[in-house]
Order: sequence, then structure tokens, then C-alpha cells
Amino acid sequence: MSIEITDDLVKHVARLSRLAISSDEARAIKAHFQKILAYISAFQSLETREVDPTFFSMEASNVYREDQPRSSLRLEEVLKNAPQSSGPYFVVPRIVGGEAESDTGREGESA
Amino acid sequence: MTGLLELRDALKSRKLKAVESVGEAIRQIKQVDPSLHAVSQTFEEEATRKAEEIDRRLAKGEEVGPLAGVPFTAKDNICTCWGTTTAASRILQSYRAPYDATVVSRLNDAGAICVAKTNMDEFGMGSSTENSALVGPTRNPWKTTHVPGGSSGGAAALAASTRGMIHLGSDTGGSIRQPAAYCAATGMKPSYGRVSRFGLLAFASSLDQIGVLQANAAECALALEVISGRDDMDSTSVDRPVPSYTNEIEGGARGLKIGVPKEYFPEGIDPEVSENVKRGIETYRKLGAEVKEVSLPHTLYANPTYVLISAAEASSNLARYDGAHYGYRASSPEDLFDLYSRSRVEGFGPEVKRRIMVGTFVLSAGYYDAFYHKACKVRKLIREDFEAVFREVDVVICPTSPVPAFPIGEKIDDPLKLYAVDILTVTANLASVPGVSFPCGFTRGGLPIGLQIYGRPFEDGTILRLAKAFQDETSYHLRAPPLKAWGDGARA
Amino acid sequence: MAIQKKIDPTAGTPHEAVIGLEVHVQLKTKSKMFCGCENRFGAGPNSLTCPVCLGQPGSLPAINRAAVESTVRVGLACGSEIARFTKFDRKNYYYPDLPKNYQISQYDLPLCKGGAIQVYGGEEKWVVGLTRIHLEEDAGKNIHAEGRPETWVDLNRAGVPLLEIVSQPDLRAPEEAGAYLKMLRLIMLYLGVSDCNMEEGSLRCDCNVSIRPKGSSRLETRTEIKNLNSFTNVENALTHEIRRQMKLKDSGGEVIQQTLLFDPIRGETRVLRGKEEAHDYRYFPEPDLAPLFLDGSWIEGLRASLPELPMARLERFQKSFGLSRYHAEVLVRDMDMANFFEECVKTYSKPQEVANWVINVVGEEVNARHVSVGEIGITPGRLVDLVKAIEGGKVSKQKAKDVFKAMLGNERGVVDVIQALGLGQISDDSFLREAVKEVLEAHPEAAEDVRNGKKNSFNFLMGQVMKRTKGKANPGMVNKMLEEVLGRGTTG
Repeated sequence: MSIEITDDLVKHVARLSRLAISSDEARAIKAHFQKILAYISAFQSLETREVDPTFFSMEASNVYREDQPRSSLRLEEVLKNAPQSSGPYFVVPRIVGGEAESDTGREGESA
Repeated sequence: MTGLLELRDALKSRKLKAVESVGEAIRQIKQVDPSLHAVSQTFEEEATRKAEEIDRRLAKGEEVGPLAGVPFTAKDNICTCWGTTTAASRILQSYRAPYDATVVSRLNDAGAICVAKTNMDEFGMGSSTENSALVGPTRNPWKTTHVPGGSSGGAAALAASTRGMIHLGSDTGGSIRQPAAYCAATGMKPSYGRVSRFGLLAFASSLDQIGVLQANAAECALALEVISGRDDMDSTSVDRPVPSYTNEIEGGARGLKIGVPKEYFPEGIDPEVSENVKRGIETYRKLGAEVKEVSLPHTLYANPTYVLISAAEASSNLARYDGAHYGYRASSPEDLFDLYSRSRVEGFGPEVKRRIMVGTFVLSAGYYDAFYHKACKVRKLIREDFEAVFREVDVVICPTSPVPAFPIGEKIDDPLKLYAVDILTVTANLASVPGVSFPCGFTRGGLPIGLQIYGRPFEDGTILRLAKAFQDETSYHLRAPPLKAWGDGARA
Repeated sequence: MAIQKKIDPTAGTPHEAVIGLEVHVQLKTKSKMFCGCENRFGAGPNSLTCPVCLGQPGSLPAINRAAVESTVRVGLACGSEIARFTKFDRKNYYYPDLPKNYQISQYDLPLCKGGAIQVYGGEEKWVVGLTRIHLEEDAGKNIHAEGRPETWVDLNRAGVPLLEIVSQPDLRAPEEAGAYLKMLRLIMLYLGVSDCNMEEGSLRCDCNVSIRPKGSSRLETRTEIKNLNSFTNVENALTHEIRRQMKLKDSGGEVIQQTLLFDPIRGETRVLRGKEEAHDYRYFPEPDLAPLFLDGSWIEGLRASLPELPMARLERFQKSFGLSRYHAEVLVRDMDMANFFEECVKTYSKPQEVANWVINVVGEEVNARHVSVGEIGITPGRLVDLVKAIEGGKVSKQKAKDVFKAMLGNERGVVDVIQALGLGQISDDSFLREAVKEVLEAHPEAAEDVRNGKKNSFNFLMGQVMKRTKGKANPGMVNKMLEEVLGRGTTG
């Protein structure tokens, strides 16, 4: 299969990846994509209709953890690597309506 | 100079004190590292304090553990409470893990003492340790103009140029075995699930394994015994008993069936590699093993499959590095999107960014079926190849890498050229089988050549046994590199 | 559960509303879904977190067995098909309350498929189909900092087990949605798997709503409403949105697919995002977790041990105890009250009487004090004693309430309390006849009036007897005696 690697596609993938690449980087990645796609398309010609995919490497199934509480980290440990924190909270730039994702009905609630 | 086993015995019999053992390890590292750049941090203070405590307890007659006083290093993608855990990335430059990886805890509980974190390719992505954002490239102790291999290049360089330590590495597509081959170390990637991954910064979850790089197979067996076993924190770790690998390796090669896959001598393989590996295979015939040609027909598709699957899983595993809760944050982000996008573009190196983009792409809407899903099917075919071959033979033998160590800078500008050195190692990760690499010769230019053995899942002892049999018969693993920490080997 | 038809916004219009609900229910397991942190609401921010739910480098998830069990029980209670093979998948998106920037969820193989919930709709039973029920992890909480361009993140809730229950678009009016939610909540309470408290966030609801011409079976473009945190808000939001869509359609416009937020204060919706910004979640199977094969006999075991569910209990209360549907509903709606009622009825065979008492007197106490029936301080046995005392004429109905209150929070027998309060009803025949005689002698004119048909005088005489006996006379008996003596009563 041949996929056209367009500037838009590269831009789209960069956005999905949360990578603010420069136009130079975008150019380089576009070229890389073309090569890589050709490389990883090597198996496109293989007939695999009757093959079940392997998604898991582990040999076991039904690996569970018992519902027993364990101790949590102390707050100092939780926050010690935080680039910005305020009291017990992690701090990030304010989330504004539409540009950020929202799911399961959660939106920033007023403090 | 004292090897790991002798050191362990000397400490046990109290001929040697823990502080002396740690002191020697640190001295060795300090001697070679200015030339090698194998280490990202040393824990001289902490390790000495711990050694003193262990000596105190031993003096009181307390049981401290089977590795009391034995030094170890950990690749910098393995979490340690001491120091930082950076994965050789700017994005984790100052990250201090709030917990020890399970393998580190197990070594600590056995009385071992961490003396350093070793250099690597950023997030495990690379085959030369040239992609290290914080320390720069590690040098090969056999030729300091050359790469030590990667991504566990720091560990491999130390395994070659120092003695009497355990070196933890990680292997996703060959990152223990290939550097071991380039540095004449014995590098062991266990069966998937044999060793806990809890605390290993994930690159590709279904491919990653922690293993060791040592002077010989017996050392690998000792280390493996201590770090293996089910971990409740890692659902992919298996619930199988850990045998005494130290005992299992004493069997010799007689009676074992060895398969030589014809696809593993690809076009373009370095003729000296081919020559030395073939001679190595002959050695096994002499030792009484049965050697025959086998076929792993889907080998040709292995590297593309590996590149795709590892990129896909990595794109998801590395999503957490976003400047929000830990790690590098870009200055004055305008909003959340800016926070994420600029922190990541500034914090990640170029190879990491490339792989994240490829991974995101192959998982994205419209492409998932043709790429990720299809790759998982090809992976199944590769696994079936091995299952079939292991019904015919007990192990498979081949070169570790089609080329020996190459000069620094030679391949770094062409990612695909670099991926090509992995083609003989990625299948072990795709098939979840154990693999070991050990030296079988040297090029006329003095560069090590690695011989690789794959075994059935959880027959880790068998492949180590074959490695030991080879090492009992040959002395390649005893040859010392020009740059070494003992004798007069300080100069490269 | 019975729908009091409030306002159906489509009534009298040519439109029909098509509503589907996506409900998220937090399971009240002791620990989180993939780690051992305590699952508890209201703790200090970030005090119930660990490397796993913080998404720290190197951490790995492990499946909470109890959460899977609870999910299967919910599926069984709703008549869903339980998957025999299931797995978790990664849903990849970036948000600060999702520290790994992926959510471990289920994509194509949910634990439960299909099923249905019965809800009362006027005289009929209304069936709302379910599409699926799956298990995932909850995210943390984002809090807008007051007056600063910051968002504060608390990850206590990150990793709490969450059920996602998706209904078919079978609902046709806002109050049906409300009834469905209430029944869903009740089922969860009966199963004991969740507190379903919308204020605390253990029950959350997103709505999908579209309109179409009455009689059509096509599905039209729908909008999604999020951020609904009470049953009333759900109904109000739906009412508003249905009206908005109808108005749009009537004026020739078209509904566009959008995600809306409901503002409960203004009573209106606003756009959160349009269709173009829809997510590409890049789902792929979670490689860190083993797939699950659910054993058929284990599933049947869970089915057999399900408690009686609300609908079945409702029917039984009407059939076996002859309760009115209203009474049955009030009781069944509060599981503890229904249990209390059943205990009472074990030792007293007048269920309607008991129901009256439990609903009105006990229920009033429960509501006034905002506690559960188990905390008000009276056992079923002692309530039955009181009801029996009334039946036996030992205390009047009017005074019985005082006796009830005095019996709360102690172990005193009903007879003691009646005596202590001096509220004992006099049902002694000769004593009462004496009192009646005295009153008639004291008020001959009134007696004459009664004989002449004046009803008021009869009541006056009743009052006098009650006054003379300090309110303790058994009114029924007095009434009869007066009628006897005067030859007339209040009738005639």
C-alpha cells in the first residue's frame, strides 16, 4: 500500500503526539516517514487473513490483584518532582473550555 | 582482578569487607569512566554508608543475604530511590524516583549495593548509546572511537572494562545482547516475564525485559537467580519457580540439539562475523551437541514488525512525559496544549520524537488495521516459526549482530541503517524467548564478535548452560580490552 | 420509579425525542482499580496516591479482582451477556487528571453486552435496553484555581474503578431518563457495589439526545450533554436541549453534532466542542495486563447469589403483602426501610398496617434526622410491639406517636413506656361506661340535642368523655357506648 505523506498528515500526527515540532523538524520527519513507511510496509504483502493477532506477550491469563488496600505515598514524595505545585495540588495552566479534552462529564470545577 | 563469583565468596567468608568491595568498584569506575562515559551517576557516599552498615551486621553474625556486599550498577531507565532516573533524557533530567524498581529491591534485599547508574540510548531507543542526551556517547573499551552498542552501552562497556559487579540492563530489541557482543561481554535477556518490569521505564511493554551484562555465563546465572521471579506489581511476570541457574548451567553441550537458522546469515553480513560465528558453531559440534540447519521463514518481516510494534507501544508509554506532574517543563507555557507540546519537543531527543510520531501514526484512525493490527498478526507468525523450530531443536544459534562495533557517528544520521543492526536480535523479543550473547572471536582489527543462542521460553538455564560450555572450552571471554580498570589498562 | 408525568417537551408537537444515557458508576471497592491505594472519597488532596495511579515512570497496573466481580454482578442483574473472554485496552488522550495520558478502559470486548432495565412508566413497565457495560479507571479531579490562570490537580480519584453503562437510545422523555437513572442507582445499591451518590461523583451521567418526526425509526444527528451532577439537572438539561432542537428544526435549521455543557444556574447549554475536534483515541490492547477468561460456573455462582432486585421486590411486596404500588415503591426505594419492613412482617401478619407505620412514622423520623433506618434507634421487633399495642387498644393511635418517640434509642418495652408517659388508653368497659354516664348526667341538654339529631352535640359529648378521661378513653369504645345510650350516633 502506498500512503501519501503530506505536510498536513505530519502536522496532524505531531498534534496527536503533542510535539510542537518546528518546520525544519517537520520536513525531516516527513522524509523519515516516507522511508519508514516503505520499510514497515514490507509485510503488507503477507497473507494474514486467517491469522489471529498476538496482542499479549505474557503466558498467563486471569492475573488479578486482591482488593486489599496498601499504604500510599507521602505527600512530599508525590510532589517532589512536580514542576509546579500549590499546597497539596499539582499545578498546570488553566484549562479553558473547548481546547482541552473532557471526558466522563468532568470539567474543571471551581475551587 | 576478582570476578563476581570470587568476590561474592570472599565477602561471604569475610575475607573481604563490603566497604572494600564497594571501594574497589568505585575505584574501577573512576579509572575507566573519564574515557568511557559509561556512567551517568556514581553513588560513592550512599554505597559506602550502606556497605558500612552491612559490615556491621555481618560482624554481628547477622544473615544479610546471598549477595552481601556485592556491588551492582543499574541502567538509568531503572528506578532507584538514590540519585536520579533519567533514561538518558532531558525530559527526566532531574527526576528522582519515589520508589526502587523491584529488581533493585531484590538486589538490595540480597545485600547487594548499587554503586552507579549507567548510560544508555534515550529511553532505550538506539543501538549505539549515541542517543544519550545528558552524558553523550559511551565509548567502546576495545576501541574508544567506536560505539559500545546500545541501548545498554554503559553497562556493556563496564562489563568489559571492570570486574566484580552486577550490571543491570534492559533489552527491547537487542539492547543487552548487541552491546554485549560489541564489548565481548556475556549479555542475557531472560524469557519475557521471568524478571519483573516494575520500575523499568517502559519503552515497549510487550518486548521489554531487564537482564544482565557480565564477564561470563556463570555470573549471569547468579544474577538471574536473585532478580527473577513473580512480582505482584507486574502482571506480566510469571508465576513459575526460579530454579538454581547456577546448578543448571553445569551440564555441558552434549546431547543438546542446536538449530542454525538459515535466514540469520543475511546478505551484507560482515564476513568476519560470519566466519567467527561459524567457527563457534563448530565448537559445539566438538562439544557433542547435534547441530543442524533449520528455518525461521518469517525472519525477513521481523525487523519491520519490531519497528512498528515498538514504536506504537512507545508512543503510548511515553505520553506521560508531558511536564505536568514530573519531569521537564517548558518555560512560561501559554496553555495546556503549549505545556505538553513544548515540554515534549524540547525534552525529547530527535530519535525519540521520530519513534513517537511513527507510533502515533500506526495507531491512528484509519491506519490501525493496516499497520498495528497487521503487525500483531505477523508477530504471531514469527512466534509460530519458533514454536515449530523448538519442536525440532532445543536451541537456535546465530550471530548477534551482522556487523561488529562501528565508529561513533557512522550510522547516527540514518535511523534505518541503525535499525538494521538489530535484525538478528529483535526476534527474541517478538517471540518472548530468552537470548544470550557471548564472545566467539575478534575481528582482525580487534573488535569483538558475538555468538547468540535462543532457547525455549523459560529454558533460560539451558542457553546459559550452552554459553558456559563454550566458555569452558574457549577463552575469548577472558581477553581483556585495552581500556580496563585493572593491571595497567588505564590507557586506551 | 413511577413517572409522574411532568412536562414532556415533545407533547403536542410532531417531534419525538430519542435519548440515550452513558452512566458512570464508581465501584466501592476497598482499593483502586489497578493499584492498592485506598478507594475513599473526601481524603486530603493527593494523599491516596502511589506510583501506579500517579502514572510515574516505570509503574505498572494490576487488575482488582473485586472490581471485575462487581461488574459481572451488575451485568447479571441487568440481564447482560457476560463475556467469556475479555481484555483491557488503552484509550489515549492528554489531560492533566489522567497522569499516564491514557486511560485503561475496554474497547471492543466489554465485560457485559446487552441487557435491559425495567422501569415503571405509569401503568406499564418500561424497558430500557443496554448496549454494554464495561470496566475502566476513573481520572483525577481538575480544580479551577480562584483568580489565577491555573488548574489544580488532585489525583486521589485517579484509578478508582468505574463502570460505564451505555443504554440504547430507548428513552423518549426527560422524566423517563430520570426514572431510568433512579432505577439504575437502586440496582447498584441493592447489589452493594456503589453508593451512587451524584454529589460525591460516584454516579455521573452524560446524555445523548436527538429528535425525529413521530413515527420515524431513523436515528438523527444527536448532541451530547456532559457535566450533569444531579437527577434534576439531567431532566432539566434534556428538557432544554429537546426544546432547543425542536425550535431549530421548526425554523428550518439542522442539528449539528456537538458536545454541550449544561449550566444549571442559567438553565442552558453551551458548546464545549464541535465534531471536528473529536478524539482519535488510538485504542489498542493493554499490553501490561493479562486477558481474562471468565469461567462459566463462576459466573453462574454469582448469578445464583444475586440478591432480590428492586423490580422483583416491588412485585412481591404488592403480590405477597397486598401493598399498594405507591407503598411498595416507597419502601423498595430505600433498601434499609424495605428490609426493616420485612423483618416486622415476619412477626405480625398485618402488612398494610406495618407499611403505614414504617413509611409514615419511621420514614418521617429517618427523613427528619437524615439518617438510615438502622440508626434511628428502634428495632423491627419493638415497632411491631407498638403496633400490636395499638391494635390491642392499649394506646390510642394519636398518642402512639409519642410512645414511638420515647422508644427510640433505648430498650424499653412498649408497655413500660405507655405507662411511664401515662398514655395508656383506657379500654376497660365498666370504667368507660361510668365515665359516659357521668358526662351524660352532667350535660342533659346536649344529650337531648343528640336525640334530636344534632351531630355537633355528639362530638361535644365525645370530647367531654375524652376530657374526663384525660384523653385516654378508647375513642372507638366511647363512640359505641354513646350511640347505644343515646340511640343515635353521628349517622342519621
